[in-house]
Amino acid sequence: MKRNNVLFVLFFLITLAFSGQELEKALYDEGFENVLIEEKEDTLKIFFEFREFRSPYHSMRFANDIVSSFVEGKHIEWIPLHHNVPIGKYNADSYNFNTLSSADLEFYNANNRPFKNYRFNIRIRPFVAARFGYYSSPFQTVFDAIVDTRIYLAKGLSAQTGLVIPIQNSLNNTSMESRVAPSMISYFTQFKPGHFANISYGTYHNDRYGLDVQYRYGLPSKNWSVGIEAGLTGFYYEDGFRDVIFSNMSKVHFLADIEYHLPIENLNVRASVGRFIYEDFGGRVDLIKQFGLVDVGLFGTYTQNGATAGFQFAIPIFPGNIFKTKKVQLRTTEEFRWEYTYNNEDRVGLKYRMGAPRLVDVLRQYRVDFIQSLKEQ
Amino acid sequence: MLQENLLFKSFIKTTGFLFLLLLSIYGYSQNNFLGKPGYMTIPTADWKDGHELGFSYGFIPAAYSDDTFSPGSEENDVDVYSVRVKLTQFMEVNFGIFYRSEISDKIGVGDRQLDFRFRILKEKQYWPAIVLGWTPPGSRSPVISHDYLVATKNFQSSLGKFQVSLGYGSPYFLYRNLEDDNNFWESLQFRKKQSFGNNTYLTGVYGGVSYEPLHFLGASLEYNTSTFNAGVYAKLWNEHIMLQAYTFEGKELAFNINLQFSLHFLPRSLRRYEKK
Repeated sequence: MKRNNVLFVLFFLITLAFSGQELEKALYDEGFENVLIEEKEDTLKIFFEFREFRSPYHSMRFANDIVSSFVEGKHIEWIPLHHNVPIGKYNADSYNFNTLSSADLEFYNANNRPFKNYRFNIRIRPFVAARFGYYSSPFQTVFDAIVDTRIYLAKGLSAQTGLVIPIQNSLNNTSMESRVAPSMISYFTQFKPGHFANISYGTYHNDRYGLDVQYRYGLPSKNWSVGIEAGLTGFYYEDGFRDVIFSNMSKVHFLADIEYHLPIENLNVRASVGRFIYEDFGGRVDLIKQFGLVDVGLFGTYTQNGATAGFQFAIPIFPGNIFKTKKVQLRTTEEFRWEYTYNNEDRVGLKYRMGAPRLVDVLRQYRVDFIQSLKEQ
Repeated sequence: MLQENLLFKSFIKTTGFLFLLLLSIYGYSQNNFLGKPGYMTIPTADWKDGHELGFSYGFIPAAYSDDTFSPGSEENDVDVYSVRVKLTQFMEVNFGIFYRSEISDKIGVGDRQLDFRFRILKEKQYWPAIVLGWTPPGSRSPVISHDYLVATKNFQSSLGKFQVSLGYGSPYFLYRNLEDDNNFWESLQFRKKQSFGNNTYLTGVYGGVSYEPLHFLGASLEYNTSTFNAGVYAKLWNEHIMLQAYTFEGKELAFNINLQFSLHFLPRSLRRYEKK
């Protein structure tokens, strides 16, 4: 009898392990990466990263769909990762948020495999810059295709690089030869619950290179968040692969901001003050509406260099996943962001585009209020 | 240069049209030349729930490009490209470019217009819908700015759907002194719209009616304080697209094409998985 019991327990454990692995595989097959399952009594805590979608709501919903055919009677908590760093725990049914316990982090640190658990992720994205000013040529545009990748080296530490393939340029004198896309080493961390930081060193869009530091405090369950964006940068110019010129890294910018997520309609109001990248002091107010996959924003800027207003939007580029195998994924970008400012000639309150979403834009997607409102739609 | 321009224009038109076709997911009812809920040139208080994004192209013939919107020094055909986003249940924003290809070497891309619509009242059984339209000050060329209050009421009958709109457009606007870029706020001053060229569009009481005998076909008549216009419109492909042709005072033909769709959609991989 005793032997039977032991056998039964063994069999039960094997079944459990088997189903856990099956679930991991099922999630991985659909594009989820670094899937780690921590089992505690009647609860499954599942860590994952899903780079194809902008909003963790969509990835958690996707994961819920997949998991429903594997798990019954278990309570599930999703722990989405951004750049290989866990953000927090979301209840699979209610999407309520909880910070990570030290046991959760220990489990993650022990099982996190930055190389092994990720695909080689190739991302295609457009780069568009436009100026509507000049009479002789009313629409001056730059249109590039960028193929890039981000590789995780250690927890939160990643490297991004790629290739720019110029398609059209009637705006500036950048050569039409292919060149290296913005390439950077980034370190992303949540050093205390709700305290996020991202430090990058590398080349960015808008001919800038250097050190970029972003810090943000705000738990996803709260509607307030505050942040700092700062950098020490210089100009660089690339002519194909051969000729790259760097100027001194001597431009300092720093901006402090506060953002409030209005309890209605997924509207966010953000006010920033500080010194922008052309070293003009001033402020900017943003109103950002989150539709789910799409963000649309209006803004007004007032600095030493003048006043302007405009709009921005962020959209995923169709179709998303193009193909994926066990080791490689080719996809279009999860976020293409574009900004229009009325007086685009003057250097009023400008920022450079990094080639990766900024911290504030990433963390906005994790707000519980926003996620729960999408669930209700 | 001219050839290049024409080529560019036709390219923009074709890609614009194809883009509209490609994006067709959901469409809705009548929109004016600026892609806003309205008849032909006037805005109404119609409100589109669930269709947050709209793209439109409107053609304004040269002879009426002055009278209606922009009393420039030359009369030219105008291509109006615009995008509309419903940001909240009570606020909508619209951005338009008024491109005049024949004189683009003199004026560039043309005037740009950003304006807002605020829903003040939802339509009720006996009450009309009321909307406030506002153009923020700051444009260097405020020829198309318009500020208005408008009421719209729908009537359903056995003969079809009728809609009546009545509005008032402000004869004044906030002018920004071009010479004084650094003192933006101080440089603002109220001016009569008529003093900027001879702009009489939406200055005073305006209004119109529309009639939809069939769910996909309608006709409308309007007065925009400058001209009387009449036209017909069709809503195609389950209302995905709206096409409208109309005349300015029965003399010149104009048209616009419009498309709207919802911004609440799911990523493709998720949609496909949930369909399985």
